[in-house]
Amino acid sequence: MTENKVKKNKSAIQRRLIPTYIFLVICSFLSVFPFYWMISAATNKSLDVARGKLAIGDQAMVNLQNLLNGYDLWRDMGNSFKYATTQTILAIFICSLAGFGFELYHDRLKDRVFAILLLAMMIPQVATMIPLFKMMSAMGFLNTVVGFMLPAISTPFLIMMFRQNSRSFPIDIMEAARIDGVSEWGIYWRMYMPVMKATYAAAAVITFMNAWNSYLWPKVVLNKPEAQTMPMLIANIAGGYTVDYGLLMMAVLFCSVPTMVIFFVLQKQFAEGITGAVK
Amino acid sequence: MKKKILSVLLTAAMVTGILAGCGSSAAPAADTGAAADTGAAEEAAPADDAAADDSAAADASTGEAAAAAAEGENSLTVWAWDANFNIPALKAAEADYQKNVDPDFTLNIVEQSQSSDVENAITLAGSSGDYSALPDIVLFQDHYIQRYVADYPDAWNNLEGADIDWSDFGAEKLSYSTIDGKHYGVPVDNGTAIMAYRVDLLEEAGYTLDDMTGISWDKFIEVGKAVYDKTGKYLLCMDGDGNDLIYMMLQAEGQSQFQDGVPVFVDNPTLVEVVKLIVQMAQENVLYLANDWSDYTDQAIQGDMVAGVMNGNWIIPTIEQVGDNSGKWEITSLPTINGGEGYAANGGSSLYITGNSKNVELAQKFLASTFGAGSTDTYDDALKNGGVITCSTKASKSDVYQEGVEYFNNQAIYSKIVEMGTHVPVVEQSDYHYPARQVLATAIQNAIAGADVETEIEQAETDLKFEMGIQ
Repeated sequence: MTENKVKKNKSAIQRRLIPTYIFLVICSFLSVFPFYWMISAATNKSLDVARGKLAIGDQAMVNLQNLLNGYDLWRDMGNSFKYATTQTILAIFICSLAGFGFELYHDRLKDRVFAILLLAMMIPQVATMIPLFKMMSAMGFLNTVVGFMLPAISTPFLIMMFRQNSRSFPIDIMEAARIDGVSEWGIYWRMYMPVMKATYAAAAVITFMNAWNSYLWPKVVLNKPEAQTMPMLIANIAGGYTVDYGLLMMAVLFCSVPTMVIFFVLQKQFAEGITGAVK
Repeated sequence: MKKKILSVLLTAAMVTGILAGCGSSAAPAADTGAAADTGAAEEAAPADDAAADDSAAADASTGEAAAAAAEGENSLTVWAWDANFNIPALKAAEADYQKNVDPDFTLNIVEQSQSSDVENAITLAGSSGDYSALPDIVLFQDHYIQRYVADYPDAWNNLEGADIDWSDFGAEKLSYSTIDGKHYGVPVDNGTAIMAYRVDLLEEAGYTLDDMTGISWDKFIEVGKAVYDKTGKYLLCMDGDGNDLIYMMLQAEGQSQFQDGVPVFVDNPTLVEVVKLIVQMAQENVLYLANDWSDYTDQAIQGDMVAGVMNGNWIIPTIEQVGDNSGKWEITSLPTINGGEGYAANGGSSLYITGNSKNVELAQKFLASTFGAGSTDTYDDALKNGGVITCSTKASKSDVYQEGVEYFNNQAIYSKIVEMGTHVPVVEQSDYHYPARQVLATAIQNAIAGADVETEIEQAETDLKFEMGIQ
């Protein structure tokens, strides 16, 4: 009797879950399908892609060969990697320091400063483009890597994220450390950083992805072939009277692999970091 | 209270953000251009709006920052787009100059993803007043150049004093780059429109290429219906969103959508007739109007849905993608309303020396001895490696231009295109070329769906005038 009831309940729950699952299946399809299409297109001839062929083809090596012959793929991958890594390291260091300071030290004016920072977050990037360009030109940073990175290494969003997550940083640790004679820098390096690992991971993923995918700003301030990055390479392949879709998708595949790897490696920490959990 | 102040501040910031966002549509935000540069309908509207601060132009010369231009005495930097088209042409010119003038010369080609990248860079440089990031030479779309020279005169150097025989080029091509009687640009490619037919399909319906040369649009529709009935393929296709048919058909009649800078649609009987023809063709399965640019190139042309293509000759490589149809295509001139061969041009670009060039003399000399001289070394390689067709009559006399092209049934299409280019009538150009195309494309779509043609054209004219700020 009780067993029956349990069974009934179970099947009722299962039945109730059907619409949820249908919804989830549709959602997963929507997010996975473009991915699949990218891979299948990278293995097909341009003409077949244009005609909507979805099956995996046998042209992967040809497309790869054309890509390597026609474009400097490794130089651009190298550039992207170099810039994205440097930018990530600098950004999480600077922003975490700011977030650490904003939350754990006390000052009458800090909230006002923080409000101004938040205001800056509301202004869309395109609106700041021309003033920023003028600033870079006045500082002599046009067409330099510094000009490309400088505006991105300190962002209000990251500072806010670090500040929010610092709320769960136990003050007791700080006080105990102070009693033991650890310097304020020491607290940051030896207490704060290890405890906030998850936040650092999330911030790193976000910054790396942004840096890796950034197009508009580097296009504006860093317009020289030696410094070309992957998004620019892809844009160059995609523009033009005749587009080779197979080759294009092969390049896109290369471009998406690093962000995928980073995301999957740091996935767990990313989720924790975003929610602000501290261990 | 504090909260209130903060929220007011936040709102203010967002509003400013939104306003600034509208104004700076000129900033390189619109980057979703269609595959071809002519397809880039997004007008990268030069900042004649809020974002542009004119005062900035005053301190234009103060930009002493790291200049991209002229690293050495013998080198020039050029921005261009399309690795399969314009860039091989520039490489050919570099090799030509090294071979015939200066072996130490280098041309530093910086690839851009599309024509709007260059337009946006000029807009940004112009509105910030700092031209120092610009290269010596840029490739620039013909349809836009007049507006950019007007808006940012400091961004350019004209070609007065350059040793170029201008009479070698088609008058229509030069009409874009000549501003106030001064030459600013050296032509690279040739935008002459072609009418390409699948001769095998025409034959199936009982017609030949000769039947189709110099015909009227009415006759064209008759043939189109026959071809569709016999083969199921459309005799004409176009991107319905960026509909270039109107412009080309009008030009073939020697007409423009503009008169003295003002759009004249309803009171232009030829334009009304052209729009009616397009609507009729679309309704009677003679014309396939694709949803967008990629639908046009991928589904219609490469998907083998059509028996005819009419566009600038840069469409040829797209047609050639379908290897199975090799030998089945041939080209001819455009039909006209009353019969007789029609000639038009669509798209194309030229090279311009920027105001930032530190070595104007070298830039002029380079252009004058390669593209500007109709040099066979430059143009033959440009054609072979990039499919770029010249508009220099002199260059078209080379052997390479006389060769038959296998894909086009061994027809000598290149010399034919240059020859057709010399007949293209000069018609009035406008900065609002693409907006005009946009409003008329919308009118056509509505008319095909059943709306009244004349009302729609009138609406299109009103819309465009509103956009241009004309009462």
